[in-house]
Amino acid sequence: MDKLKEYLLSHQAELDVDPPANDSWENIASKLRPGPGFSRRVIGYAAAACVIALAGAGLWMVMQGKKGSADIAKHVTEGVEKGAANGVAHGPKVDVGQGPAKGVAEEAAGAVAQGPAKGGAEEAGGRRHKARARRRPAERPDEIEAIDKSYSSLIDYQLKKLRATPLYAEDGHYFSFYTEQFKQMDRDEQQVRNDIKTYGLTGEFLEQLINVYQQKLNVLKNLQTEINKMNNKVREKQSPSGKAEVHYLNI
Amino acid sequence: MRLFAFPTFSAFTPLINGVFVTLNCNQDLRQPPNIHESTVVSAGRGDRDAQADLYRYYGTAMYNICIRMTGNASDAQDMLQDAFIDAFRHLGQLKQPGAFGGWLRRITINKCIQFSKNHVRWSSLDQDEETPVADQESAWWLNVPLALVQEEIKNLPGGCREVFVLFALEDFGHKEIARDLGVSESTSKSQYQRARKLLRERITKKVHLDG
Repeated sequence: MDKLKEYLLSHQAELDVDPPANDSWENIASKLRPGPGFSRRVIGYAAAACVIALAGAGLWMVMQGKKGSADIAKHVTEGVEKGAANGVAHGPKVDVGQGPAKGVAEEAAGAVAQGPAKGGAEEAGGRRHKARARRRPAERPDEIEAIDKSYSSLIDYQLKKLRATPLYAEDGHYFSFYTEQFKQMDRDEQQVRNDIKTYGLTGEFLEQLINVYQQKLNVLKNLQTEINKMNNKVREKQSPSGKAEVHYLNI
Repeated sequence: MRLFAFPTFSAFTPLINGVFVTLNCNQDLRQPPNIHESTVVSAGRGDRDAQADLYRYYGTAMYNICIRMTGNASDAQDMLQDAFIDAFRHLGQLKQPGAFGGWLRRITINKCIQFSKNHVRWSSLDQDEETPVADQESAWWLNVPLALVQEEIKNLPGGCREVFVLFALEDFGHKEIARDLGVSESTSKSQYQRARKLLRERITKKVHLDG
């Protein structure tokens, strides 16, 4: 090795004769000090997410109110009653499952599988791995509770509505893709919760949790739309003498 | 990414120990061996006192790297601050707390390299300056105070100063220097020879003047 290099490497500590400025640490510390604190940031995210979710859900409910399931049920029942009045007891069962409605259902299901649900789950998994690398002690579960309450009430409301919606065209199995999706989201949610318990609440975990909730709401929304479409098909194709079989979704 | 060779760590250790002993001179010196690692772990959790301790351990050494690379106190101060801020902000990514010293050193050097890339204008050298002088000269540096060597390293012109520091003090190879600074390998070699020549001339002159 170069002898000068060898000499300097072995005396490097003795070369370090220049002291840094006295206020150097103060400057570093002041730049390290976060503006808004972590928890404030998290609360901010949580509040923003809740407002968006509530606004979206409100808008959706308003839209659904116009062409809701009660309306469809009313029309279908009218059709059945008309058929009965015309003297035909049992008409042919309307098969809309093989028609365009099924195509729409498959398309919608495919979109859910390849779209936010599947992609989101994989993405969330990736982020979880990254987040694990930055482990933090468990802290402040109250923000999660706040989000939990607001989202849970929305999801519960939608679930109740779905369970009460009559299915005229197909039984519950026809929509099993959606119910499976929903179960998968439940598992994803549980996984995120476990991660939060283990590593503590971070912005990433909170984002994942909100993502899962939003995906759940999306799946339920798509399911409701699909049921409405199917019921509409029944209404359109219902012969005056037709009598539709009624099922309810078990989700 | 270049890994640190052992000599770099070993050269660095006495300083850490020196500061460590100074910091604990009124306490029990037989601290648990993992005290440094625990300080790093705490600093990673955002503990400001632990971060301040790490700054006290490593600040001077890192500052001296910066001032040798930049040649002036003001830029060195900026580099030092940037390096520590980056290190503390990304400390969670460090898997082995015991490797903090080398990791921080690498961050500091990278900051300085980035600075140099933006500020150094590389001049072309005459062919004769590329001739290696290493084997031609006597060990003139042996009786020179290291503080004077440090001073003259800082006074070297931009370009050859960075190459000299990286090659002779940070144990980089010319290939790595060429890649990191965005110059050719032959430029790195010739700049190193130029720095050696200048150092020798200037230090010898000063030693003669000062007696």
